[in-house]
Amino acid sequence: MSSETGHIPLEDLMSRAHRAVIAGQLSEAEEVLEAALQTARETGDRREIDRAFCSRASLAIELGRGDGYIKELREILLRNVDHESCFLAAYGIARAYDFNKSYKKGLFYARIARDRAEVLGRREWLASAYNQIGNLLVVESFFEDACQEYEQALALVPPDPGSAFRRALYQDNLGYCHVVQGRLVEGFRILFESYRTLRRLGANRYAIGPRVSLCFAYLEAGRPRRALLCGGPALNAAEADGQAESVKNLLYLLGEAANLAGDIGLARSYFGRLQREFYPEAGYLPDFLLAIDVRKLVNLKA
Amino acid sequence: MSSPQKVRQIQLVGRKIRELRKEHKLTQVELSQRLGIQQSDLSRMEQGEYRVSLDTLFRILAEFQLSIGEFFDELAKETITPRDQRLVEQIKSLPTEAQREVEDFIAFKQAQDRRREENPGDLEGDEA
Repeated sequence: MSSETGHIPLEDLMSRAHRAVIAGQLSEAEEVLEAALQTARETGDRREIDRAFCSRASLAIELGRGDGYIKELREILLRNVDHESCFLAAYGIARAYDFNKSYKKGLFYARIARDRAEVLGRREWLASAYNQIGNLLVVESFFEDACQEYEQALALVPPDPGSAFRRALYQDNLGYCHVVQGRLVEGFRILFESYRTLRRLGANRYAIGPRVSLCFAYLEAGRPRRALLCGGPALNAAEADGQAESVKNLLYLLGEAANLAGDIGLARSYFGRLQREFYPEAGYLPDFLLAIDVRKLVNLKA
Repeated sequence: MSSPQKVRQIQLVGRKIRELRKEHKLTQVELSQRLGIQQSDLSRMEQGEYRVSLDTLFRILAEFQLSIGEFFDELAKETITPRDQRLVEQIKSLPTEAQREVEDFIAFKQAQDRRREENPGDLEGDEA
């Protein structure tokens, strides 16, 4: 298709950007997508410009700089009858609202994205939309509903090596839901599969997600020492990669694990770090967490 | 030093949040606005159906910071901890006669405590 329409460079750029994202080279991906947007603008093709803009916006959103893109994405969604552009715009808006914690709005746009993907018959996009809906249901504590969305997403991912990365991310999400709902055997199986796949692909920054979930799973399984062994290296990796949210969750989980393992000194040290680094005003936190087990209150994906 | 007892009942935490909110004369709408969450989410949380991020959880605690001690004490009082559960199981595992002996001993210790409170000087040296 591309060679006929003369869009090979743009498609190539998009592919390069995709590979860079998987490899965790997000700055490089940003540069490539910026170049792709420039290339699209040079063609003057509105559809290509919109597609390139949506991709550029997507990455900015993933990097937490997406707020400024919502308005233009909404314009793309409103002015287009082209389902492809509509999917990309709606999906991007859903992600942006997910990031700024407007979950109900995000769910609205994620469902639009799902409907457009269904019309297009694009399995990969439909899977992304189901996964996104699942994510937005998880943060609202609708774990059973989220499981169904993730299962639909996984059913749509082809079993080929090229889709392994995507499948592993969905598995992490589904595995966490299983663990929260007490389905530990299923949760462990899926989380391990996710973790191993991401490690094999060299997607180490993404492998931190299933490691956090596994640490939590060990806690729920009453194996706090295994949780410590699993969570410790994950904490180091999350710190090295600057993943503040994972660091926060891991400090909490490791404190909980140490406490359940009977090592109060270590527990206090993790809870103390959590308080100093993330909640400096809340001096009471270490004592509170030593006394109250808040596992059943906390949503690590929220 | 014994490790602090763990409190596991999410419903109790939700109920406590509801009580504290009412003590502070806040509606669900007012508190949810302060916390930056939806009123429906706070309602589900009070019913023990809604999990929150660590950030939101600690915002809730900060909102009631002056009552943290009370929050704590009452939860501990109202909750059957794993230790409590273990004690019950241990007592139940004893023969009936031995269970009665344990009950008698508890009654004796309670009477002793009452006497100690009423006449602090009378029982001096009892524990030696």
